[in-house]
Formats: sequence, C-alpha cells, structure tokens
Amino acid sequence: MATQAPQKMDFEQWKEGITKAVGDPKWNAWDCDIQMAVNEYNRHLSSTAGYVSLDWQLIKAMLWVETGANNSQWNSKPMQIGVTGDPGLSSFLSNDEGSDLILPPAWKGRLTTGSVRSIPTHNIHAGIGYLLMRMANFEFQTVPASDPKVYEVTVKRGDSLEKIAKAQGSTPETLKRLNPKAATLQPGQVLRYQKASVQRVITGWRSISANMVAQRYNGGGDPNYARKLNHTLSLVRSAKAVACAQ
Amino acid sequence: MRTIKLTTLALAACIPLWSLATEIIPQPDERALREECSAHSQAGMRDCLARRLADSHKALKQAEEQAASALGQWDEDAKYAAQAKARLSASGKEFTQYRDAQCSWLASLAGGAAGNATEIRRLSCAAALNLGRAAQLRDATSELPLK
Repeated sequence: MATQAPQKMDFEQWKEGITKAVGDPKWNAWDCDIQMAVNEYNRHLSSTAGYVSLDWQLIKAMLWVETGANNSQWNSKPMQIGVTGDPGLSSFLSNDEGSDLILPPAWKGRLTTGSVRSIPTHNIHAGIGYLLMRMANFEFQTVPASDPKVYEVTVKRGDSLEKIAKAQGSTPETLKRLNPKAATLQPGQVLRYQKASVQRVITGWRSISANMVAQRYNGGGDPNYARKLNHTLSLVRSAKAVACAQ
Repeated sequence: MRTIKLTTLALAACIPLWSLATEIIPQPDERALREECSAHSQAGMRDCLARRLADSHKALKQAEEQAASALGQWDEDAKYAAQAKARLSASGKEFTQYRDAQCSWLASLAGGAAGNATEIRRLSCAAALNLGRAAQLRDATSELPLK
C-alpha cells in the first residue's frame, strides 16, 4: 500500500521534466539524423509484406525516453542500445535474429560494437534497426536461387528427399513441389529439382505502438515506459521540427 | 456451546501473538523500486537503481553486523549462541547465491529487449531482496533477551 502514492508522483515528476525539455535548445538536436536513418530503413523495407513506414517522430520520442539531453549519454548512446549488460546489440550485430534483412545495404559492415557505443548516429541506426527487427515477423522458407533451370536427378538406394536436396543444392519443399507424385522414393526413379535454399524471410510486421515498443524494445523494465513514450510523442508532434536537407 | 467456548479460547490464545509481534516496516518490492526510479529516463533510471542497490548493500551489511552483535550478547548458553552464529553466516552465503540466481532469472524476463531493461530488472531485484533480508535479520534478532 505504501508503494501506491509514489507511482503517480514519479511519473508526474518525469512528465514535468520532459515538458520543460521542449524549450531546450537540444530538443531538436538529433532530428535530421533520425529522419535520415528512418528514411533509409523505410526505403529498404518498403517492399516487404505489410510494412508501414516508421514515423521518425516516434524515434525522437524514444530518444527522450531513453536518455534525454541532460544525461551524459545523450552524445554517445542516445538510444541506449549497447550499454553495459545489454544483450541487444550483440544479437543485432550477429545477424542470428534477422538483422541482415533489416539493415539497409549501405550500413552493412559499418556498425560495430565500438561505433554503436560511441557514435550517436550509429547508436540511432542500431537502435532503429533493432526496434524494426523486433517488430518483424520472420519465418524460414524455401527461396529459389537465381538459376531458374530445372535439373534431374536419379534416386539411389537409401536416398531421401532431405538427402537429395542437400546434395543437389535444393530443398525438400522444392522437390515435393516439382514431383507431386513421388510420395515414396524408388531407386532408379528420376526426380526434377531447382536450385533453392531455406532462408529466413520477413513475412509480416507487428503494428508499432507505444505499448509494443515498451514490450519489444524496453522489455518491461520501466513500468511507465509506454505512458512516457505516448506523452513525449504528443509533445514531439505539437512542437516545431527543424527543416532537414533531404 | 462447547464449540463456541473452544473457539473463543483459541482466538484468545492468538491475540497475544499478534499484539506482541514486532511491527514490520514494509520493504519496497522490486517493482516499487522501479516505479520510484521511473522519474528518470532509462539511462537515469538505471543510475538511480544502481544507487538503490549500493544503499541496500550497506543496509544489509549493517543488519548482518547488528545480528551478529545481538547473538554475541544473547542471554543463552554459549553452545546455542555459537550454533545460531554459524547458521547466520551459512544463511548469508546461501542468500547471496539465491539472490544472484533469482535476479538473473528476473532479468531474463526482459526477453530480447535492448538497452537498460535487463540491468534495470536485475538491480531492482537485488536491491529489494537485500532490503528484505536486512529487515528479516532485524526482526529476528530485535527481541532476543540480552545479557
């Protein structure tokens, strides 16, 4: 019961601080860098199924919720990805969770642990990329190779679709599609196949909202994260943004 | 009638236990600590919780020293006082192990989040457990009859 009262007070205290920040000369400090990065991601991902362009103002609001200009890390890690104890950056840079599909080609190889931790624009790029990676729905699917030619292979004793697919640079799904009647393999049987591989692909996107950012980017560490983000976003939208060269 | 009498006696027997119980000061749980530090940005919140953890370590150390001192002055046979001291020390070690494992698990509930979420959860958990343990030690030894 003793913990009920401070909850409101602390959120109100934070709200007061962020409302004052609107008049801060640093309020628009990262606007152009954010816009540039968001535009790059939007261009790169626009062709994926169900992608809705990311709103750069949401990222600006995130920067203020994550650090804010009064924090010393505003000039190095404004989105806080890569701070000590954060597993997020290493999973983003490892490409194990789909970041290779998210990151625009021009940024591949440019982001490193060191650069994300010290160069604010790199931190912003990594933060946005990580957020998008967490919003994407991925699946492993058969992706045809650029070579459209249909090849043939003769089944040997002990073969299976998996074994043949592996040996021929194809996938069991491709073999099944091209040989619908080959339910049981017989030695001497001729199967058709195309070159293909199983790859991670983006199949859709979660709808990006303050609650979703709190859940997928913040991980519920701050119980007031979504409220903070919504409040800051309303301030960002009502204030004047700087004009940036495109 | 007999049942009523027995119930009344049973209730009466409980009353002194309640009235004699040491007043327990509620300790903030880990969520309450996160709420308190939520007045800051995420970076500031982490710093705030790191300070709360440092304070909780001090509070725990002080409570451990006070508990050991109380056992040293306990008006009890030396054999039992020594046994209680040894068990206090052993429970302190086990507590540290439990705290670290529990807070590591709680931190993992941040899932694949980026930034400070994992540390925010770990720091608030460890601070809350330290404060709880300190309160337990104080409560347990506050009423020991001293020599």
